[in-house]
Amino acid sequence: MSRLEVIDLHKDYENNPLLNGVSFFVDSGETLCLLGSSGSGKSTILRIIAGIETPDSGQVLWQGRDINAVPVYRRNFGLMFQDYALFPHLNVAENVAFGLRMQRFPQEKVTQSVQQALEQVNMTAFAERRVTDLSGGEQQRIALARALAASPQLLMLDEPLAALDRSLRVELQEELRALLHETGIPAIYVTHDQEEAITLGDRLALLHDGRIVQCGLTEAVFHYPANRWVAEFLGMTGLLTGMISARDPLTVQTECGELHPQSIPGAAVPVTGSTVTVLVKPVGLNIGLDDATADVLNGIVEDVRFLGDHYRVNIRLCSGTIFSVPTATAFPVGDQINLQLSPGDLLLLLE
Amino acid sequence: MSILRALHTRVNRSGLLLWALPLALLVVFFFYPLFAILRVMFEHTGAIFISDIWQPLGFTFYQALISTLLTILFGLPAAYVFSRFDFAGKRLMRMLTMLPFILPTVVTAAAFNSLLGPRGWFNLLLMKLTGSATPPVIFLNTFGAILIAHVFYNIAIIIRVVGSAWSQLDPRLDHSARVLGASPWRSFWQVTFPLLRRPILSAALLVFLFDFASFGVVLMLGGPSFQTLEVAIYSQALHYLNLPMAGLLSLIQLACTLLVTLVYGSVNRGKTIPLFPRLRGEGTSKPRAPWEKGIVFLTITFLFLLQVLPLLALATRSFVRLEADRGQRGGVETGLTLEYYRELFVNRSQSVFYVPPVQAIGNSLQYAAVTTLISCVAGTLLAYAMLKKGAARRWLDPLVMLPFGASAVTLGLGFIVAFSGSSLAGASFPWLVPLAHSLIAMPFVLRAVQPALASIPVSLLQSAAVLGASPLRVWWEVEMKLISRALISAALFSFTISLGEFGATTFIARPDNPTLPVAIFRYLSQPGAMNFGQAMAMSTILILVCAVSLALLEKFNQFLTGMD
Repeated sequence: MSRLEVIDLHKDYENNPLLNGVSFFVDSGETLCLLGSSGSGKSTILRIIAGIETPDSGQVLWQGRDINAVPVYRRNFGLMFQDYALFPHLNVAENVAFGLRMQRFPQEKVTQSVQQALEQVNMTAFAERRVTDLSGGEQQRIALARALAASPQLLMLDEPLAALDRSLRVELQEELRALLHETGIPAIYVTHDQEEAITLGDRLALLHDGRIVQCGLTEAVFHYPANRWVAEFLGMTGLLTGMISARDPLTVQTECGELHPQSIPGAAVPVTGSTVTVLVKPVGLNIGLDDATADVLNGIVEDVRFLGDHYRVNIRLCSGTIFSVPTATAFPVGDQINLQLSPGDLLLLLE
Repeated sequence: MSILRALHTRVNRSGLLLWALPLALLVVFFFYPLFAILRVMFEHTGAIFISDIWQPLGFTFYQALISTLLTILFGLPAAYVFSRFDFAGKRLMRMLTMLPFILPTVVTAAAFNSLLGPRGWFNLLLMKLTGSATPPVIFLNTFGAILIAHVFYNIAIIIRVVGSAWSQLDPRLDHSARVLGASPWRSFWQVTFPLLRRPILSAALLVFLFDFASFGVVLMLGGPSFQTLEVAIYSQALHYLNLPMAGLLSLIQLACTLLVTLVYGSVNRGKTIPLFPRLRGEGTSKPRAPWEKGIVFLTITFLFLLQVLPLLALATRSFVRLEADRGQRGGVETGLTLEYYRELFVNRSQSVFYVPPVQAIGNSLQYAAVTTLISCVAGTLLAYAMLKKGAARRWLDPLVMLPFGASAVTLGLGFIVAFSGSSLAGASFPWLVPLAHSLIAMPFVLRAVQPALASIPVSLLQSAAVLGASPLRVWWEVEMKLISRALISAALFSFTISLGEFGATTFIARPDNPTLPVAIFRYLSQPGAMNFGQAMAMSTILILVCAVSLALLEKFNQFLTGMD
């Protein structure tokens, strides 16, 4: 069992705080997805862990030992750069062999590990090619093979799929997911793409304003986003602002009437009169059925898109918010519809 | 951690150390001599005549302007042919047109001498045909000779700079103009020419700069009646021993070249020659239409006559014995011989030197090797230092490029003024010649290495470090490997520059320890068939060395295409 842990990392960039107390950990056998918008400092965290940059304060622990003083070339971590950073003067096999050579493995072992790493990414036929002749997806695979060849103790991937087109990205997501689980190396995967994060991450860590705002199992994060920013970042659209008018039963007064959301288990409910956000979860909603016991939201169908196996309906709520819902059947544009909300469909978010 | 930090930002605090060696070189061997020239101007008394300034200054501008215009006039069609047509022997021809650019001026003088001089092939042929006793064509010591030699030298710049920009223009631009209804002629003037204006201007300024600082060509082909500033400095210093006058002329020369360099720099700043991604060979085709075949044929013939024929004349002249003395009719008895080459190894008392000429070859090779070493190490250090941003760089940048604008003759003058009589004087310190050559070569090294170094993405270096490479190994396994081509090009170029350098060397080299160009110059100035033949033989050797070096440069492509 290996564990990497970072504790309270601080880093200023041109006198502005970029990282403002970042802490998280990752264990072997799991992939942690570090999710945040561009410029949020995700890459900087990886570079600090790799040893390319030093934090202004805070610790990087490997197996409980502070490794701040260990130079980058002695850490034996794998880092895959966003631009792949393949050496243009070396061919594919030489690129993959680079790390092994630097660590002075015997020639026999180098050849064997290169072969193995190229097999892992299905690129054995490319061994003698020039890296400059490879396509983006092929370069991505070679960069991955190079990072894996020297059996790193930890693998870090910095937006490895960002430069690829969509269909290739989806294909490689699956491959990467399989490979990461196969090797069992603790992995940190940096991305700004929530879809990629869902596919690849066992756990998510959301970075915002220099802090980790939420960290947990991927499913849990989607079920219970910690605040409005997280919900918005994850692409959730059913957000209504309101004020707590009663705490028992929990009642929130919104522009669209009184709603009765659940609160996140274990979280403290704010005092009456506080401004809060209610999240309407888009999945499994009752549309149009008359059920007097539940909360009801009225809206007008703005747009309907057919997406192959389901429809996506955009509903303009009374607050003006456009709420995007997957449905099994289509609705005519312009129709007024009622959303019948049971308590499980509404969640109270903290600001 | 400090090593890492340095690795990360490439050069951070250690920047100053990188500057140290090249800066020391510059201070001791460039700025100090420059200062020495200034001091001499004020401390010594000498006659300063305004007319002695105006005349060479005016002539320098005049000849540079005419030469540049002629070079553009003849260079543009050639640039067009090379960028738009494929023809047999294109690669070879392109290389042959580049050869003159790196040839030493003495060799050029010798080459035109062997073709058009009083004892050149052309006059010999005419004398034989007409039975005339005197050479009918007078080429040497004419204004025309200077102009032709300048075109011979610099047409390569137009071909390379404009040609490469031209071949990188997206042919679709022309195609869309044509689709929109423009005639080929209008499309050229409305679309192609405006896009080429900047490369043409940039190449023209470079040509002007070289023509302005022309020394050997004017001295040897123009003769005593034509004086550029460079030649005036030379004769004031070495013939009239009027150092204050020479110093003043040097400063004027320096000011003028600096001005042109600045203009050149501003033209090239933020240059935006459209560089569309294009397929190899797109936009070039075999000449098909009669006019296309015609222009290709004319261009190749012209370039052959201008650039290849003189060199062939020189090479053949070095193997042919012509016993007759100048103008002596009937005694011309031709025969193939290796005598001039054999004679290089013989030490004759009546020789211009008291050492066999082969020693000059040895000297030149030694100096070239030392120059290559010094200029490449110092130039590469500078290139590293240039990566560092900040105030220091802003100040030091122009200081480093200053020697680029300074002429070789000024440098030579500065050296003798600064170091003669000191412990660094020629007799006790044979390193002055390669040091002067290094200063001349260093900017070229910088210009070759710096772009290569700057284009290495930081992520490559970081990636290597993450993969376990120590800073030293990152430098050796990644950085050095990635700039090796540029470095080899720079080394070849330095070597060739040193081998052919004439302007500064005439001042610094000791009479009994000449370099090859200095020896050729002296042999050329002496009467007698043997002296002439030996000059031809040594020049031929230099051409061979330059050709080999050029072939290698082409192989390591990079510098030449990056010349603009």
